[in-house]
Amino acid sequence: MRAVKFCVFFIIIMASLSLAGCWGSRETDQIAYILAVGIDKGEKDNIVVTVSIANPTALIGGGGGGGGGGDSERNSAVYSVETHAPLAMPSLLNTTIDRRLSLLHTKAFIFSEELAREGINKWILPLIRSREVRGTAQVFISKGKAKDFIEKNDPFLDFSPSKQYDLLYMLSREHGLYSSIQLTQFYNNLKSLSIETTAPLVGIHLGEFESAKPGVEKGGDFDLGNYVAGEVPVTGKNQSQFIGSAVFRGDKMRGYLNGHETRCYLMIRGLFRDGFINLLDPLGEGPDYVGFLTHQARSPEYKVAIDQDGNVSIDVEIFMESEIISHTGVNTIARLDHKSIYEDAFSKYIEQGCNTLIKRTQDEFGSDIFGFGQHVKHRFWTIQPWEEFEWLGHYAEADINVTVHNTIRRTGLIMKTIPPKQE
Amino acid sequence: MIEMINEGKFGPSEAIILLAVSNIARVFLPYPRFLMELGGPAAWMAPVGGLVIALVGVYVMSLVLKNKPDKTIIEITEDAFGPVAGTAANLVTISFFLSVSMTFTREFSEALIVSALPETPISVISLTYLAVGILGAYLGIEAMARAARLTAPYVFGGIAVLLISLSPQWNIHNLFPLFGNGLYQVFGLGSFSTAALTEIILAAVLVQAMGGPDKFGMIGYKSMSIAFLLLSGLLAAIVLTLGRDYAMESTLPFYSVSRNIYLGIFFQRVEALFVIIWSIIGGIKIALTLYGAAVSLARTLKLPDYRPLIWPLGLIIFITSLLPPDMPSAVKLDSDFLRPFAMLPNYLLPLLIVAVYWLKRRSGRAGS
Repeated sequence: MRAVKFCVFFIIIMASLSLAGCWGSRETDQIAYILAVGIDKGEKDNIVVTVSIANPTALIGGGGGGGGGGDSERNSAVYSVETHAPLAMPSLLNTTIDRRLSLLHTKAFIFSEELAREGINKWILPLIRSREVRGTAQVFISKGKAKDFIEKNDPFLDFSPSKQYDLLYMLSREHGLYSSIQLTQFYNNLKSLSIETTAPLVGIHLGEFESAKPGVEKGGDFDLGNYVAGEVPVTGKNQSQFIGSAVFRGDKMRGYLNGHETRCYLMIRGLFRDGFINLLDPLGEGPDYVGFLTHQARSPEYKVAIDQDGNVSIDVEIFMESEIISHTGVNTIARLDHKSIYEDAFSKYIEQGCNTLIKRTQDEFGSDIFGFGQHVKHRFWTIQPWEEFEWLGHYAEADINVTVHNTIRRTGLIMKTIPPKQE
Repeated sequence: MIEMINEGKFGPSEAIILLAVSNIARVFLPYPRFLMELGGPAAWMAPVGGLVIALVGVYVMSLVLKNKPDKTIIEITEDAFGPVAGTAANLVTISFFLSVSMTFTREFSEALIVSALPETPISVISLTYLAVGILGAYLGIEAMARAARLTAPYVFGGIAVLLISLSPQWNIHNLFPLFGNGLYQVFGLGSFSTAALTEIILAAVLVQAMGGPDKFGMIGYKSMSIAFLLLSGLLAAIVLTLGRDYAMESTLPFYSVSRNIYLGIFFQRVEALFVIIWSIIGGIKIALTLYGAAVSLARTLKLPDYRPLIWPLGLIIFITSLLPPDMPSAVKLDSDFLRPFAMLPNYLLPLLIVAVYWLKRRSGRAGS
């Protein structure tokens, strides 16, 4: 019995000594976490990988006392390296940085437009295979160099730069001016035979108000989404902008959508949640505008028909609900006869945007970014005939019509507008 | 002599959970990827056909066991085929248990390396799994059944959390075209592949501990139904979340979907929970098959106790689990060797026994 007790005691002592850590264990102060990765075209058939690395000391200081939050330059450091593969980057950078670089907390992969136009698949594949890279990281396309974007991106309100990307993911639901996409979904879309992929556009705005669109009296309109990233006339501390979407066909970028087109794209897909949309007052005598806070009431309905020759026609019905939260005119929107005019005007405006966008994706991009193919494939029982049908080749000839139904539910805090007295 | 093997007793609910947990172990391995390749987006339907085959298998096995209510399949096999052929058939069953244990030890170890412990030597992980298996087998089937019953809420609750958390990412269009790669692939090859399991023959070995052949049918039907419906549900969740292409590419589709959980900033990176779940299930599966091999061998050799056999059999499992040179070879061994092999003890053996008894009765009647 004493021998058994001794053996047990010996095993416990040995186990506590030998099981104190596992083979892969590392202390947090031995690791440097990459928060964002930018990939640009490099010289000599290479790529330039730019990383934003978290500086934990600064993050702790910023979070604790609030004093460090204002200077986000200290929260992360930016490094670039020219290499032949994205995942060769940590080893090369570790010739300079003394902590092991880790992609476990990487929140964003930003590809430059130039690289995306040449094809992105060969750069995405190694990321998907890596155990460190998470499929929930977001993908962005940068107008201009991704390196410049990462260097100039300065989310001064957030202690952690990674928080910016988490917030951006959710913020797209608040206005719909860009569409968020995670790495897994982006990768799936690259392979899918029923949908082409998009990715949010990012850019740096260097000027002031030169890029502002003209007002109504100068031939413009009231739409606030007529910009792509880098064009929005904003001045301030952070020069980075997120608006618009890059459109792909296969793994190559074909062009981009501005903010308004991105909203139409999201509405057709049923992914639009909320947004403020301005349009010309249909009853106004001058250049008055009316502002709708609108959201998608329910998922769109798709009716697909395929005739014997394989021609596809699709009818899409979009259902919106709005609240009037802004109006410069004096007409009383709450009047039932007026209300239907405003509803129709809004519906026509969105309808026109959607139909124009679909036409553009058919003629200019040849790319079914809306996933109409996902509805068309319901008409096939097995994979083989579906693959033989080659929907993405048929997309440009498909007859697609969008109808928008809009209901104004509320009129904000004002029911009736009394005109101001005339002098 | 045989009665000296003390297996303990446990109730039907423990038996159902034990067999169901053992059955779903394969969903955590690369097996779903194989099913995706076979059935495409309709891979989730394959277990429905597999369930029908498994239920028929349970029925046939229950007929066999009812012939000799106080015996297990090991003694019945010997009784039906005679001492030489019967022992040979039992050795097939024993080598099947060892093959399952070996393959699962290797695959679970590889899965843990790929997902969580990339720098740990495989021998250390295999030994840890085997230590759990040996301990479970040494403590006996009653202890394992009760352990399975205790961990069931965690396992099934974890799976429920997974399904609920993933639901925002489900894309219903991923399930189309509805019949995937075709009816033959889904309900033919796919169903037979999912029906290639361990639990029918295992339950037939454990039949006395589970309460005898009277309860065998009920336990078998219920455990198969639970396990196959769970398998089908999890496959559907994988297709809905990842889509056919990515699910077909992924080494560990279940792990991939668990990494995809993203419910805002607060609920993400929860895959570690699922690594724990699959480690529990892996331990139970390895322990069960090691136990099945040891008890079957003890009964075949008419030994009074199975425990002395656990150590040598454990050593055999450890060494053979390291024989495949790489992970793809281990996965191929599973799909090309183990799945067809499973048909022998689970379906062919009981059918042959039924045929032999029928022939014996017929010749007996002709003789009289």
